Amino acid sequence: MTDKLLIRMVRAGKPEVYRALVERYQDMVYNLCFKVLLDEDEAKDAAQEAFIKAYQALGTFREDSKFSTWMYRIATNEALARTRRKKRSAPLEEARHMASEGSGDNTPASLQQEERSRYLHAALAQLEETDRLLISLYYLEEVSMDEVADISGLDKNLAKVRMHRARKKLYTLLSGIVNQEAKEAL
Amino acid sequence: MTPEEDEKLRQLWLGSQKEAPDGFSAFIMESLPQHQPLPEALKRPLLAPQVAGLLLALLIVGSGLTILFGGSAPAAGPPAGWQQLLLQWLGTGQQALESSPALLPGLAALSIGTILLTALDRLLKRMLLHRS
Repeated sequence: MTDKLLIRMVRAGKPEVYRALVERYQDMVYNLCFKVLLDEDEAKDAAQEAFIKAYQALGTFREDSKFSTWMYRIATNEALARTRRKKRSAPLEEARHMASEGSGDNTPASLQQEERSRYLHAALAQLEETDRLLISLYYLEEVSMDEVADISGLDKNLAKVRMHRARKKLYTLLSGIVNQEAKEAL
Repeated sequence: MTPEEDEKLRQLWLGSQKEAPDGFSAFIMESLPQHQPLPEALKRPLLAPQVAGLLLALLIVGSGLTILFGGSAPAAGPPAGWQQLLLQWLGTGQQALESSPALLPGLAALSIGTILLTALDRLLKRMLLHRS
């Protein structure tokens, strides 16, 4: 069933149908929030808040636009607002520390994956939140550059250039962290 | 950035993706407001504040001018060009009112009705939006 049909059903008085939309986008929205906030609890709260706001504003959703773009924009605004609030209230170092903590699964395969994710999040923490957002949008493959510009509120060309620079910077930071870890292990 | 580096980063990124926490959608469904989202049309005011303001301003200016001139020229000196035009306009209006006695009460009822309807519309929509 398409997003538009689900939205029409919710608008027509079947709020329970909204669950299908939530389940369709929850992983993407949660990951987007997590990559911007680098904090699991904050990301969960931001994603939940975004879905509730989207439901409340569903009456204003224009059917000629994509629900996913609209949803990502709401989630982005929520995540960025929380990052700014957090910056004012607590040092980012705390978020970096939390992002680098594992989830408790210690099998060898997952440990390697956990370690990789830890490196990635440690590198991400050194980027600005807008750069983290742009990289996240880059890896959401169904999102076009026009949509990236729409979601991030940046000019399309600026978003494209900044997205490229951010990925390059992330790769450099990541290489540095991995090399440092390798040196320390020796 | 080379395509190989880009691909490495992509693999790493995709490998670090997480699933939304358990019970995520259930929690959201429990947290939703108990009524359905309001359609956009219901959120729009009956009259835009600018239009309502303009109509009110016109009503006040029109009433003020009618009271000020009362259908006659000012006592001091000959009337200026704009005053003549205004008197002419008021005279035409007065003639129309005289020829149709029901026009004035009708206009008054329409104006008061519009004001009341606009106020009621804004009040009800504000209440509905406040609940959502």
